[in-house]
Parts: sequence; C-alpha cells; structure tokens
Amino acid sequence: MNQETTNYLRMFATSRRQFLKASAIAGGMTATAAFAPAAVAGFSLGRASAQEGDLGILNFALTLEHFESRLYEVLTGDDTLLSGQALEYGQYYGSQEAMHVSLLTDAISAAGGDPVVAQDEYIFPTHANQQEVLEGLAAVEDVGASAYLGAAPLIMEPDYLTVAIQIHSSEAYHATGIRLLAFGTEGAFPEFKDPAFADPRTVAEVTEIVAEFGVMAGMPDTGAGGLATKSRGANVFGVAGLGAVAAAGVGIARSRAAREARQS
Amino acid sequence: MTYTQNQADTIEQAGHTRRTFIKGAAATGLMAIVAGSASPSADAASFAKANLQDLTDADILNFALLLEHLEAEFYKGAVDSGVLTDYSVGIITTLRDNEITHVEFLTTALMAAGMAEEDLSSADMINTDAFDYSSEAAILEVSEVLEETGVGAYTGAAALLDSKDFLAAAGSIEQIEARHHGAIRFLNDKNPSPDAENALGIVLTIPEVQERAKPFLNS
Repeated sequence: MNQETTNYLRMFATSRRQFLKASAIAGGMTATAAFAPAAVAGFSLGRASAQEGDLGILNFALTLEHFESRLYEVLTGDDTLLSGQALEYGQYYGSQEAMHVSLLTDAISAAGGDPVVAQDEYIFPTHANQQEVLEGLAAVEDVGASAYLGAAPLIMEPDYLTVAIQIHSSEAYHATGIRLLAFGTEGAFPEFKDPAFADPRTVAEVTEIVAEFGVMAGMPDTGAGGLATKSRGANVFGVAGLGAVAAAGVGIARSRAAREARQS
Repeated sequence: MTYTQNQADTIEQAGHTRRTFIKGAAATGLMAIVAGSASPSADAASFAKANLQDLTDADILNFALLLEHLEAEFYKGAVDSGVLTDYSVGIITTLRDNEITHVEFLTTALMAAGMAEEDLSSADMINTDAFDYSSEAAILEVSEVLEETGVGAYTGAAALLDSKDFLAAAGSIEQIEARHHGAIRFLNDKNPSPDAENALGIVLTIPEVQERAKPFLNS
C-alpha cells in the first residue's frame, strides 16, 4: 500500500456533486429498512453503549466510505483514464460506495448519532494510465475490506454487525473485480499471510494508511483512543492460519463457560 | 499444542457441555438440520428462531464445517475431472486449496473446543455423486451457488457467535468466500459484485443454507 501511494500527492479540490446524494437515496432506502429495528431497540437498553462504541465504529466506516465514494467519482469523472469494462466497473462500484455512505449515514442518524460528512478535500492520487488507476483502486478496496474485518468484532449490536459484514462482503467483491481487471486471474486474490484467511487491519492501521489520502479518520468524539488499537482479529490472526486455532478454540470454551456461569 | 491446567479444565468442561447438548436438544436442533430430516418449510422463520437460540458457537461452526467439506469435496473432484481448461483451472485450484484449509482450521478449532470427533461434520456426509462435472460451465455454475451460500452462511452466522475470537475467524473466512464468489461470477461473465440495488452481501439463515446444501448431502 505504501509503495502504491507514494506518488499520490496532487491535491484536488473538486466541489462535491449532488448526484451522489440523489442516487444514494434511491438505492439505499430498502437496505436502510433493515436498520430500523436495531435503531429502535437501541433506544432503550443499548443506546448508551451504542453512543460510545458502535456509533463511533460506524462513523469510522462512514469516513472511509465518503472517501471511497469521492475517489470513484473523481476517477470515473470527466478526466477519467478508464474505458470499457474498467470504466463500467468503476462507475458501478462508485455507485455502490455511495449506497454505503447513504446506508451508514441513515443508520447513525436513526440511532441518535451524528454522522460524519464528506471532507471538502482529499489528497487524490494521480495516475498515468488505466493500469495505475486500477492498481490504486485495488489497494484501496483491499484496505476497506480489511478495515471492516478488523472493526467487526468490536461492534456490540448484532444488527449493526450483520450489516457491517455485508458491507465487508461488498468491499471484497469490489476488490476482486478491480484486481481481476488489473492483474488477471492469477492476481485475483491478495497475498494474505495465509491465502485461506483474509487479514484484518486495526483502526489505527487503517487510519495511518488513509491519512496518505488526507482522510482524517479515527474515532471522532466517541472515545476514539480506546478503540483505535483494538482488534480481536489482529490478535487471532497475528500468527497466521492454523497457529491461531488453539487460541480460538479456547475462546469458544471460555465463552461457553462464562455463559454457564451466568446461567447457574 | 499445550494448555495450562485452567485451559484444559475449560475445554474439558466445554466437551461435557457439548455432549449434554447433543443428547438433549439435538433431536430437534442443528443435527436434524444438518441431516436434512427437519422440515423448515412449514414455518422456516419460527423454526430458525426457536432452534438458533439453543445453538452454541461450536454447533454453528460445525455447520460451517459441513459447508466447507461440501466445497472442498466439490472442488477436489472438479480439479481432478479433467474438464477444466486454462480459463478456470487456476481459480478453481486456489478455491480448492482454500476450502481444504478451512476444513482443517474448523476441525482443529472444534476439537480444541472439546467437540468429540464423532460429532464433527465429515466428508462422509457429502454426496459426491450429486456433483455435475460434465462440463466446465456446469462446474462454474455449481461453484457460484456454493460460494454464494458460503458468503450468506458466514454472514448470517456472525451475529450468532458469542466468541469474538471466532467471530474474527468467521469474518476472515467470509471475506475469502466473498472473493471466491466474486471471481467465479467473473468467470461466469457477471460483474463480481452482486446486489446492484443495495450493495450488500447476501445473508442466509441456517434453514436457508440447509435448503441449498441439501441436494449435496447424504440422507
């Protein structure tokens, strides 16, 4: 990632386009309905913890989605270097990122939170040709997937967790599509520590990476510092693959023992 | 693999709980679902709701293990079938290797959690005669269904898991299944990313997964 972003240094200050919002609303409404029960339930018992934890995580995700959405908008805009299937994928994935923005914004609002808005400016990469654009997008999508994977175990509310995993899938689909165009079938999948297990990234790791794009991530006004370095996923898979099994197995046993203790 | 005495005690306790569960709730619970003998058709939602609350993490992951066996067995046969061309053999071989690793991971993890070997989902439960290896297109068609099912199954299971460690593992595997699904869709001349309406990956309940897996399971 770092190598691939070192030459991304030109500043863009394009004004935001309203179509993003419009198309997002059209597409996002159905999906947003899935959030309603969680948001309502969150008002009684879960609201306090949602304010401290889940909403902060959702806002962190929204921060990334705003950036991704704008990145696609710029890279498929008037000066696009993409054509044919690459342009088609770019436009489609950009519209899907806008749906994620709309979904998360509505969900955070419905839970009584304060959704972050898009930044006025980002540091967008510059590219010489289509191949460079695709390689840059592949890196961004892979980071997005790893961010959701790292953050998911921190989410307390089950409905939020499910939707986070669903968006996580979407990012993985995007990454795969872009990678297939950029690297062909031989490069369809990233080089994870163990190819059968996707690597998560902590909030801190993601924050550092996206800072190169001028994205001011982190966990705004919700106890950011505490969550920034926590990722269960990173702990479990810090040792690649099967080496983590013992810890995970003990984790199951421990959680069951705890449940039995509560019940008796 | 070595444990402290406390860990060993906990695992032993979990194993005991597991056996108790099997004797008790299993008749109407997950094992029935796995065996395909339960009928979720009458009222799938209440069936799922009633039974899911009794499921332990180990039960859920044992169901995931069954799906991984299904995928692994299918891809092993696909790679050996001789009908795959350069168009798909690289991807299918990678998928096979990943699914075999998932089988090994879940098997080892469930045994570490105290599940008895005879309770583990096994490759013997897969009806390999049901696999259609008549053409590359047929293989890719089944692959797409299996991978989508894997994505939906892990996504649906995530919120049911108590252990955050296993949630992290399930999420990690889920992303791999999504990448597989995307790559297979690409080979089937579809955009790797489905759901143009909502941009969300699929979620499946256990009965829904069972319904999809049923044709490939021994009765």
